[in-house]
Amino acid sequence: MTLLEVQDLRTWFAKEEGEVRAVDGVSFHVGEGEAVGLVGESGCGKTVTALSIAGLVPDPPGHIHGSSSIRLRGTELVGLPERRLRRFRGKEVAMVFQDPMSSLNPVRTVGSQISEVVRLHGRLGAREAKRRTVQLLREVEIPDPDTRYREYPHQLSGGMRQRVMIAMALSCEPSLLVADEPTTALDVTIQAQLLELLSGLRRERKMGLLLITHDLAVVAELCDRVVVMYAGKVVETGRVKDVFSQPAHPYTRGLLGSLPRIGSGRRRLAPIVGGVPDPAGWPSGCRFHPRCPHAWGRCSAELPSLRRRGGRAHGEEWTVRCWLEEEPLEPTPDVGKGP
Amino acid sequence: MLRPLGREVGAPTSAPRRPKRGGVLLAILLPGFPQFLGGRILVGGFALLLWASFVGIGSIRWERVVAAPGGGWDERAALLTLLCGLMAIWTWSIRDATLGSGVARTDGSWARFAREFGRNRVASIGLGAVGISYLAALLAPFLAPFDPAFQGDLVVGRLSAPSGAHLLGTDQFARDVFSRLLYGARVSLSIGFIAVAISMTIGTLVGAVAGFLGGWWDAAIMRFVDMVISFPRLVLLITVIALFEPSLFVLVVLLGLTQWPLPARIVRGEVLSLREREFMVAGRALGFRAPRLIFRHLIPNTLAPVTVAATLGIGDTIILEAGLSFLGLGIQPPTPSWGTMVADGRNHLLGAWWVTTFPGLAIVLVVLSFNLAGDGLRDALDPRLRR
Amino acid sequence: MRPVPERPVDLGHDAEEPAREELLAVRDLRKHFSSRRRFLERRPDPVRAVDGVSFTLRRGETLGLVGESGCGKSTTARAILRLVEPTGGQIRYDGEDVTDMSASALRRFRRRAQMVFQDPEGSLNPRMRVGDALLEVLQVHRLHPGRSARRRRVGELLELVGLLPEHGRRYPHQLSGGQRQRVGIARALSVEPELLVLDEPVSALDVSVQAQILNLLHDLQQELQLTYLLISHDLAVVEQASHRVAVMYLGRIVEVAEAYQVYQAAKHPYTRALLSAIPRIETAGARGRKVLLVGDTPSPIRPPRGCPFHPRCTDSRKDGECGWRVPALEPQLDGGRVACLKVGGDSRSRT
Repeated sequence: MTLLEVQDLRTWFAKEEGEVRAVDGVSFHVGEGEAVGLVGESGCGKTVTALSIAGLVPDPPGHIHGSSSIRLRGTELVGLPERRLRRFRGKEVAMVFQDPMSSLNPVRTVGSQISEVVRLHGRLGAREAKRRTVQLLREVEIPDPDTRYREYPHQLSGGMRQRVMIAMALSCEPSLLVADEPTTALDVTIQAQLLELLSGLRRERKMGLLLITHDLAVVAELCDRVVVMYAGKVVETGRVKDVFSQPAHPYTRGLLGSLPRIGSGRRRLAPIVGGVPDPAGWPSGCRFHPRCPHAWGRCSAELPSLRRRGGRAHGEEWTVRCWLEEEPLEPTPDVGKGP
Repeated sequence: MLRPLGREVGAPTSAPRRPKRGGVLLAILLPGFPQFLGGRILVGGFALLLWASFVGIGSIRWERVVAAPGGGWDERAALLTLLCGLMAIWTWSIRDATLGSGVARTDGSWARFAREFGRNRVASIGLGAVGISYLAALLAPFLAPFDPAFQGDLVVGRLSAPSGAHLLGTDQFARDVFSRLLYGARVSLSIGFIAVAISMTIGTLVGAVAGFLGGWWDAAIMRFVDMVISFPRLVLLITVIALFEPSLFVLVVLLGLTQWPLPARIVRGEVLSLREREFMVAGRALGFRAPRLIFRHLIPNTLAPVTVAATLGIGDTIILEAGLSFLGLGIQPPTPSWGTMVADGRNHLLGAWWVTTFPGLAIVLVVLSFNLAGDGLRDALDPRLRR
Repeated sequence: MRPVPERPVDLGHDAEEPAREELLAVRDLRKHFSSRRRFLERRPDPVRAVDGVSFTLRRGETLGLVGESGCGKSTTARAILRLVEPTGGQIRYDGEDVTDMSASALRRFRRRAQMVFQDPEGSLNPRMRVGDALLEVLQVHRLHPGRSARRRRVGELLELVGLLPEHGRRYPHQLSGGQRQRVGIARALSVEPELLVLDEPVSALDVSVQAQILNLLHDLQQELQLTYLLISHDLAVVEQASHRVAVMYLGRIVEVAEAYQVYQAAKHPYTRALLSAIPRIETAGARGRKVLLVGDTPSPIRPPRGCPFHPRCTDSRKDGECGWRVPALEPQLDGGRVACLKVGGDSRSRT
């Protein structure tokens, strides 16, 4: 069963430069207990997608188009009144952000902040809430939770703070956890700990996970499926194994080719030319065409649709938005692929 | 030969030039200032200085010209020279600000700032009012129907109410209040402008040096600044003025010399944070010496808050000057100044309200305009500071 | 200048390369930051950001300096260029002692050694057009005398880093992150240095742009025979760019060796943990075989006694030496150096 179904999500922002189509027709889904990675470079719209799902898009200037649809266990979230939305937020969907320091109140102890959420959603008494909070802290593997309960955010390390945020997110037992760059600000060794924790929690709680990150390797470690975004659109989705081993879209291929990898020695990389386009004016046609090594006439004129990869036995959920896929040509030599 | 891979493709080419009304407006009010903001300190500073000397010192000297009887054609010739000089600076500044160098200018920090400022209607009105009062002061000899020192018939014309002949009435010496108001604007505005220019220059230098050197120097300089601030300014002014013959020169210099600690603090605060920015470290790594780092890299980046402080400071200075003149310690009669005019009329407040009210209103309006413009400047500059 | 042999695109681990001349030698470098003493309070303990770092850098090579945040890698970089004054130790650059250079000698030195910064936005003066920023450097160092010659040179520099001369007329905020970093590189190159200290040069950039900059640095090194000291927290970036790698932990180097030795047969337990912690594309779907470190990096104000890594080390002898003896950076048989009591030195037996 699908837990989250995003259909044709369009979140636009009214800015001075004009209408910024940050997210422009994004569709994907997250199955029950499934981990999906949403990857892309800065400005591709991945964070706005996350905010839209959590109902946290500031309106104005942001606006989710009426034709968009975000369904959580069949309930349509777009256009839901604020009061009912609030119940979903936190209860069904919980979010973890990149910078825990800005999400925590610096003058209150972490324990009181978590137990506040626990009490609010669980209708528990003070003592019960505290017991539950300590248990949550233990669950996110914070050593000595009784002491930590009484500490302030600044007394914790970055990794610990992120664990606190996860504990807070788990407090209402959400069915979907949306994590926006949860480990980007952390060191690799701490990141490894957190990834381990997240993957464990997900398995135990059978919780859906939407992981938003620019780091393909984190997705490879943690997720079942990947959604690659570029310039406000999904360009490729599929099982992590398939997409990362035989990327079909030139952008995915380029991203993977740009990535320095452990164990490949000293070498030149195969980057994508140019830079990420400005969200205030996406390129015409296929939005990747100005940077694409395979672009041909049609690419700049028409936007290809997201098609299932035809005729190949790579799982039924591998879709690509590329003209080369629509009209199967002889595959061009893999320019962007690493060894 | 080397072929660096990955030349930036799709880089935005030169955007079409758009006329920026706000930018032009500010270039008219403060020619050279856009260039100064743009980092061309020498060129911009020179134009600003030239302009300031025309407007400021020019109008102080003008008082002497006016004071001498029989101005007539001399007066007009002098004014024309002044205007020609101003026109030259204006033309250059506006042309440079709008056409200057194409690409970089169309979305320069300056243009964005002007756009931001232009959107703030209240602030634009404030700036406009300031501009109008400057123009009125400059063109006083043309606009004023009477000589400010000219006394009418003391028996008939004394304290006459506003009428067609005397728009704002006459004072106890049968002098035209409207004319005196216009000439008074020259004194008030030029004192404000020059005193603030002095204090901002000193304050910026002191603050930048203190912040840049840091450590012991910073502590010593800032304790001195604290000391100056803790001294009541009005008492200091009254004491010092009592020692000298009160004159325009003394007043301007004293007002300027007592106000610098405030901008010094602002600049030091800015410099302390700027000093840690990587471009300062990069400058040191590139072997730049301290004066270059201070003047080319630090001070231009503190201009935004200094501009705000200066705009608000002009308003404060005008009030202070009016207060001192009211007490008889400022501008000496017969030179008209808004403060003296209020003082002169206070004995006749009940019988002839217009003598006091109009200069008082002028003070309020001008100071309010400066404050509105200052607030607008701060708002327009702030997002860039936060960035 | 010394001709550089033509190299294949994949540089591999060219072990048979001729022994290179030593350009920079750092010995026992220390930098302690002491916070100001407050009234009626005990002087707080200093932060031992760099606590005895020694390495050498050979002409034409890239030495990667990796470590997690707070390990002192950036401070090391800045101390080498005397952007922070070292508390102790010696830095020799081409035979000259950098630590006691006079102001004028230092200025000459800075023509030979330059720095590229992490934040391409913050490292450029926002009020200066990038062309003017380059021009300024040429003026200060009296390079390419004459207005038109300097302008031409600015154009060349911009082209050298893959920008167009037109970009010189822009302000930093009108450029993309990658373009700004190119300007930062052009500015460092404008004094024609031999050594570039690259302080996290790509960590603020998007993946695709990051690869462009890394390639650019790669090409520039060959074209201009540059020597790089590359500082990064990203082990993959360091491997891609470095001949040799030094791993730092809590202000010390724990392992330094040829890059392939570090990445294929790391000896120090910290290096091994670090390598296994990196998420990899190749392991898609197959997690596990991780050496998870417990806890956080200790504070450099009160580093642990003995081996700084021992409280987190998976195979430290808790009872034994690790808790009180500070391991020295011992040479290994294969030419690398490791600071670990368990690994020991050349003469001792290895586990």
